[in-house]
Amino acid sequence: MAQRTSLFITELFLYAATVAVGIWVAFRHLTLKLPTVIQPIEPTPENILIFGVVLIGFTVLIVRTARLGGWSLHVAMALAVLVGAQYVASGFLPPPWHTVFGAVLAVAPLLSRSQYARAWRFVSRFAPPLLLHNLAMVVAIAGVSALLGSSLTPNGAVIMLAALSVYDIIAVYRTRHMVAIAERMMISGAVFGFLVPVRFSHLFDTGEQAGDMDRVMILGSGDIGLPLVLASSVVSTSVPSAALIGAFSLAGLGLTHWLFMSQREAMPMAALPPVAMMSILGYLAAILIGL
Amino acid sequence: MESFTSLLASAKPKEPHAPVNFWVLIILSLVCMVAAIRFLGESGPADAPVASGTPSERAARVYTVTYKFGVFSPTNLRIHAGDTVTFRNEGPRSVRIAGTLNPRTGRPEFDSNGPVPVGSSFAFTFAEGGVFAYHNSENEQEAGVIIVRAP
Repeated sequence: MAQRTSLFITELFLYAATVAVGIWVAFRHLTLKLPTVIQPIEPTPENILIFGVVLIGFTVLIVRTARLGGWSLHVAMALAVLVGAQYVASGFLPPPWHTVFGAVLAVAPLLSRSQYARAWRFVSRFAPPLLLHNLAMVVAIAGVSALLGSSLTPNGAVIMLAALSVYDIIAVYRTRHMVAIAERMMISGAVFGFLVPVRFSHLFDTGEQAGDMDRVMILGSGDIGLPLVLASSVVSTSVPSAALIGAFSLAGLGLTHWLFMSQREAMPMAALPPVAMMSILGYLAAILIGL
Repeated sequence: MESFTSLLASAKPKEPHAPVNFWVLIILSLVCMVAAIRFLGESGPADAPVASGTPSERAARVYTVTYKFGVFSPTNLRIHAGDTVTFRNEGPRSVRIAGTLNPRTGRPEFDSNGPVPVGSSFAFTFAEGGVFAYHNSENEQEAGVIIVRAP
């Protein structure tokens, strides 16, 4: 029981940090970039069709990429971290330093994986690999989500969140390709998501056992970032609404954790739908309250 | 989306833990909430008019942008041509609101023509469509945008 509580506290800590950084970044860029205007994308039938085609194309691409080999996942992850971290850093650093910051964070998780054993051993003597990886993920996921959220209308983000929740259920239970991709990511060591240790204190472990994949759970980037996309899309009109959506998504994480832990045996689970449902409920509450 | 799978690395595919009805319920809830948001929200909470007439034939509306803690909120506001925006100063000091310069006339698109004291407001009716950026003349970092849909 104590282990489960500790696990949830670690998840909550990392998730809340990402939500807070993401909302801050979305708000920061709103005030920095004005009066330049990004016209948000409306959820028109044409845009929904384009989104569907892109989603199917993306699925085919990642399934094929996963078969190609570990290096392609590492490159994809490094690029995503670079984009997200650079976007976050541009909120407080001038060019070219935000790019340097992004590049350092993009390389850090790669170094902390066992495939790069020599570099990993060197790094793990001085810095906790799990903490390093998770901090890089907090910044990267917050940045990518804030960037995506600021280019969508709230209605567009809600439809995207609902559609991807259905997609997640199909991908985990029907086609099972999401499970295959997750397993491939674990084997290659390129995990684009949180590595959550069973105890909070293990985040600060150093040494060769610190990043042992048998002692961690994975919380995927989609489960963390997509609710944040909705919160970020609302920031331009109401920061309190974004904060409320963030709070509801944390409750959604709690619901997901409870569902996962109530399983009789550990099985892959679609984590996005409960989190998405609570986030959308948060947005609905914000409308009804008039935030 | 592939969360919690590392514990399951050695697990062979089995029946999902949650009954199908559970996921059907989740999907139905999502559909209902999306429908409710489309019905109630239109484009989000801040798009709700402060004062409005009956929308049988769209009447001009009045929206409020509040200046507080150095931020105009909502920072991006989408309205229709003919609508009025009231800029209300709830900050600690007076603020002067100026639109960006019109390249043809060389004058601001709109201007409060002087400081707006604390607790006061300045209203402007946007007759034509377009994207109108504005800022606080005292601090140009404090800015906002009014996006006006043409009639």
